[in-house]
Amino acid sequence: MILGGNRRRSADLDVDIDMVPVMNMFLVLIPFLLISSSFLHLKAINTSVPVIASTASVNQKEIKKPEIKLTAVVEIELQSIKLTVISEALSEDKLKFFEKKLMKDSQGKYPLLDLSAALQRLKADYPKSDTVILIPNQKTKYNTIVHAMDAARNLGNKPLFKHVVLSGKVG
Amino acid sequence: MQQLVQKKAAFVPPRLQITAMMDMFTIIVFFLLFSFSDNPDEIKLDNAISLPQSTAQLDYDDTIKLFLSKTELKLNEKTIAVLKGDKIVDFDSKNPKDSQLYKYLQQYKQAREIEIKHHDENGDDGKAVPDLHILFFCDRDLPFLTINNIVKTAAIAGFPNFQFLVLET
Repeated sequence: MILGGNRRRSADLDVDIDMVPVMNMFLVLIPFLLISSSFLHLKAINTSVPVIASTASVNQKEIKKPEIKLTAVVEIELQSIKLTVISEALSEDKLKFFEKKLMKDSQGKYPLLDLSAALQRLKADYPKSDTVILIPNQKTKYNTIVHAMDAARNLGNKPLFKHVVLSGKVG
Repeated sequence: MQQLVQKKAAFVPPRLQITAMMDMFTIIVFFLLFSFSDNPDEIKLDNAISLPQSTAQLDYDDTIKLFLSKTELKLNEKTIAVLKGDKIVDFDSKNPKDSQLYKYLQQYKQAREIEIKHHDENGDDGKAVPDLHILFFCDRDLPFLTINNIVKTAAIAGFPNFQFLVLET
């Protein structure tokens, strides 16, 4: 009976884990991680402004359709986004097929998804096209310009037009 | 005497309860591990500039930095112009070559031309001198009118290529 009593007492004994080395490790690790942590992730969008070309334009007549390159022009106006297309290889009627005017929605937001969808259709027909000229209105905010660039460069995970040229309105 | 000894034996020093502190440290360590970066950004961001968010994934280059906030224009941390109400003070959009921005960028361009000349003379390991472009930090609420003057001036000065810096979403 005494033995049974001793077994019960030894089973009840608490085992203390020494937390001091663990705390020591954390006190060293946390400052190191704080110094090397990055809470803001900065990325970049490559863009350019138009310059006067010194080379002659390539004659694109009699080129097969998949090789034709179109240049999309996206004008961000105050109440809408206007999409037009320029190319020396296509007739005006064919270029007008891709023209669109996308109005702001009831909440006053630009229809950037619709713009991406329109550019995707253009890209599907002419996959070599890779340039968008973005012409914002003078009062368009930089935030809107960046979002329009995102809409022109990607639709979800699908790449669209990788070269975005920022230009002021001419005339 | 016996009672005094019993009292002394009965005294047990208090144990420090560090379980809660361990919980906190464990959570902090895991959070910091997730935000660990082996190449943390070394750019000093101006508090006056709120960058726009974007889905861009491209890493930026270490090059000439142009900061445009609602109050001033800085080139590599040197203030070169002041803004009042979205307009650049003492800037004539019809004569951008008279601006301080154009003059400073011309200095960078001349320095680069000298670097290219030295590189061509010495032939440094076949490595080409990297093209200079401008890393552009701009507040998201600024209108295109202000931005257009800046980018147009930079293009005239020989820097038509930009990297617009954004916050990753």
